Amino acid sequence: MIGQFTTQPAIESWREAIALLVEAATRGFTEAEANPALYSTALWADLLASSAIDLLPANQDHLLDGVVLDRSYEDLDMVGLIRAAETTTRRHPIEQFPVGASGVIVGLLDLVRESRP
Amino acid sequence: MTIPDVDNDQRSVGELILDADITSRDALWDSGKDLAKARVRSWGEVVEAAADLWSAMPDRLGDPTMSRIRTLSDGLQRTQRRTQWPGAGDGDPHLESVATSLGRAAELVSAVDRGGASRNLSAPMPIDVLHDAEAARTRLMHVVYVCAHSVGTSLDRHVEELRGTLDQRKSLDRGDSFTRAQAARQRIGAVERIAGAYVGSRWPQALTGEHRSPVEAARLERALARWDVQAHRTLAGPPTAANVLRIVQVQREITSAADVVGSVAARRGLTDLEQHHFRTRPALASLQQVWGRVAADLQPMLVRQRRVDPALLGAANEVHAALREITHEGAGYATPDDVIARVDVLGATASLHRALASTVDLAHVVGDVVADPAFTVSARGAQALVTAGGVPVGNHHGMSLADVHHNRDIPIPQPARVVLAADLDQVIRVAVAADSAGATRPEIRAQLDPPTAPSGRLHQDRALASTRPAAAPGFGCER
Repeated sequence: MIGQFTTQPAIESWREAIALLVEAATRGFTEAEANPALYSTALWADLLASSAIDLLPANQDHLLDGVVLDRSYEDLDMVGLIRAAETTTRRHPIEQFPVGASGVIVGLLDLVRESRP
Repeated sequence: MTIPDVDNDQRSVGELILDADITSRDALWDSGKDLAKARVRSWGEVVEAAADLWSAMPDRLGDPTMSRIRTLSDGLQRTQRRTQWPGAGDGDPHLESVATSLGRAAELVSAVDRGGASRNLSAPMPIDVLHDAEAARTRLMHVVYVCAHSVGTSLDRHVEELRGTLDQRKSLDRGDSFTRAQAARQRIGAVERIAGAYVGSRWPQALTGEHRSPVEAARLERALARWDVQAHRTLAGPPTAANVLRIVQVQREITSAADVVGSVAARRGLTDLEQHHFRTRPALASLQQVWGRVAADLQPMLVRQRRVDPALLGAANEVHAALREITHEGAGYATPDDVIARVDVLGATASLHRALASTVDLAHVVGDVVADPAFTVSARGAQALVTAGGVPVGNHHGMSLADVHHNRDIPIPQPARVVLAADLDQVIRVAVAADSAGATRPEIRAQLDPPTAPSGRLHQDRALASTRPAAAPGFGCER
């Protein structure tokens, strides 16, 4: 594992996982208006998104806003989107992600487990 | 999870480790307390197979990490044999599959080694061999890290359950041991830290929402103090919307936690119930609402750009984990009994209200940051705001098509700045009102005073003040 992504598909998957986490957080903040207990989980997803962004090359943040998520994600709720983000990280072996990715992935797995209704 | 047919297993070494990686992740989706002992039984097999594979791979540097992990694991296994805990029984299917895959990979690597010329470790190796070995080693250590975390989280739940049983002065089931389970948790935690350091996990505790059992009394106070200091430090640096949004979101969570923990304290008669119900709680609800409005108005201007000051992120992760381990069980709130069992409710309430005392000051500082001409947002976010009608047409100067195309950081459009400034004024007003309502100074009763009966329907909420049960060691049939 080195300090950068080793393949373009790996960095694109990482960006997709971030986009899914941000979307999960956004929907979670909305869901929390009816169920305030969900706010903490939504914030956790947003914090993980920030941690994942921290592994991206510093000059490429703007590319995140260009990620187009598949339409199949539109109907998912916060929990579904968090699971989708975790699944996205499985597309590549860990060594294709930069140093620090293991911690983000384990955090994501904990979030999946703890966000179950 | 792949059930390997060892005789006909055609997978390559890389595929086998990848399969172990995926299976170890599957294990983490579930950390039921019933899995703990099975996972401890299988843990040694995982480490043994991982160490065999590690030693079979070319390694010019002789990295000692896996040797340390093997030594720790061997020690744990000796203890298990001596104490007969967790004793005989089934292993964990996920971890057994991981061990089988890694064991098979070790056999394959060793067979290639035996078939070729004898390896001269001092001789230079082809660069592709070294790269492959480095990749495999990273993949392997990641598997060990994830497996250690899955054993640890299962043990956390198991230990928590045993502690609850002992605190209720009940006997543990035959074969259960609080002290041995807790010791195993500590020892596997050491492996997790070593493996985590190898793979470069930067926030191993806070990021994974680590639940410490029992909740460390001083953690919340420390996390809140660190957060307050770091939020002010970050806001003194270059003003970015992402930092401001993160601060606003965490302040809202602190306010929400003050409500949850404060409600438990009031209902148990530790603080004044009427004061909480009629003054503090509405004030905290209003404060959550106004922080939420700031976040809602700011969020569209960031779109997905959430890169924040790493020091702020670390403090946010820690305060979030410290709050969540008190207030939550899974996706929902913990029950009042759970909260009381986890933490000194009165102390936590006082810590949270002390943290809220700085809300007025923080809102002023955030207001200064938003007013700073250097305060920027993403051009696409600003455009979205304009498109949504949040900014009157003709007032979004400073944003060109090129800015939007390249999604540059641009000064926030003035009308949006005005909206945020108004939001923050509202936060200040509500925070001042909350302060005068006593939301930052809970009226604490003596712990054993019976609560004064409030009028009307609140009678049903009354409960005799309870004292917190002793944390440890528990009383009961500890073997």
